[in-house]
Amino acid sequence: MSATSKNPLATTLLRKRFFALLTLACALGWTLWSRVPSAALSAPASIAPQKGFLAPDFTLESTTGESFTLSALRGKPVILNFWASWCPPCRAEMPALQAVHEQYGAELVLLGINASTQDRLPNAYRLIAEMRLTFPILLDISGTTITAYRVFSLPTTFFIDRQGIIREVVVGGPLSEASLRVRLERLIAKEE
Amino acid sequence: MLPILQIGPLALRTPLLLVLLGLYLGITLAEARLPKGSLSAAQLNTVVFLGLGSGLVAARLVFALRQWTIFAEAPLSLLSLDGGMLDPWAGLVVGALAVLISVQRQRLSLWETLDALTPLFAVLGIFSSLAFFASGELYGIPTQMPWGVELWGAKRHPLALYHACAALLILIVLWRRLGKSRFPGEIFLQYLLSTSAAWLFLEAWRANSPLLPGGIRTVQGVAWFSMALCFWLLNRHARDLVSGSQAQNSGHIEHQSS
Repeated sequence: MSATSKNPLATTLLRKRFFALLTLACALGWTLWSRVPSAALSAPASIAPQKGFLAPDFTLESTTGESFTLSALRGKPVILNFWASWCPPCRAEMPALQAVHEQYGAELVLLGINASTQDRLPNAYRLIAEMRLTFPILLDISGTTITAYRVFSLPTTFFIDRQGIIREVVVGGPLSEASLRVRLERLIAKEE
Repeated sequence: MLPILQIGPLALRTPLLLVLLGLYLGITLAEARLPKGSLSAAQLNTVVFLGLGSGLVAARLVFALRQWTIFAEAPLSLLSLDGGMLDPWAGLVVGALAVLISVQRQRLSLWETLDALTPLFAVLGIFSSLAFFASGELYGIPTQMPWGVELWGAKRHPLALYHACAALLILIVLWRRLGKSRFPGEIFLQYLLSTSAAWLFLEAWRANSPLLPGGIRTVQGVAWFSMALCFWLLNRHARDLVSGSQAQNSGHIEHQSS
């Protein structure tokens, strides 16, 4: 009689080995079967306010009366910063945003979007003057852009690449100049 | 999806809250189910907090080193609460090393410590999946199934909830086996094996999988190797048990014949 038939533990061990190999073979089959087809890889990105998706398009007017359409800015990285004057973290991160605008202004577009449906315009204008902000501040008077971007909390900042794809979303703040620069360097470096 | 919990003027990050809650419940549960004669609750806490602390510090330092020109100009940014300024892989490696060192210095058995930590891993698995559901970062492919959720412009498989259910199921199954290991490390290896299998299976429904060449999903590749490693280690332990039992039998027979 063999050792295997003598010892029930050895028989169980053989069964377990067989089960393990069978499971691994099935798992390999499942991995290969569920791989992403090449057609799906080349499909255009759909639109959503989330990392990896095409940023929803909008046309908004700035405080200086200039009109900005997001899709017209393709070719340059874009930062969208949603804010309101009553929000302390929004106010706190404005100097950092202004600093990166001065430093990287030629390489990217920074747009501040005032959540005008949740803000008083005179207060927003006062903050722009107080902080001496020179980057474009767009007014979302109808609230459609804030809805399209599903902004749950202020501030919220979107980092968008040259192709219009959202690369990062930062909910809350305040963002420091260093954390903004880290993300911008990454965004610019990825596309060079 | 609920990334922010607004309580009056306070905007709390729901995913972070869920992970912290999972950590608290996991540690409490692990302490309550510590196997007799293994490590103490104080030793368990030392291992956990040393691993977490070292991991977090390393994750920030390595991230800063990679962006040293920016951090050199603003060194206080090292203390920033910005979770985006972390290197997760560096944190994981250093955290694991810190756990190993802590286990050795306290003269604990690594496998017994991992068994004791398994309830924490299992509870964290449930709560981190819920955190992913709250943030909307782990989402499935579009579906017409009635339980699909509207997310990112389509009705999608609630993949993070599938993961939470799988993690809960794994916890329930392992719960009955806690303290009944036939050898040190069995509970942990069974947990790792079943979690890897769940990830490998569920990844097929993920819409934003990181990919390897040929469209192979990275997570499935890693999970397959993890499963193979677990099977190998479990088999090795089982083989030792068989050898031990055979040696015992032959010793018994020799004793009888003498």
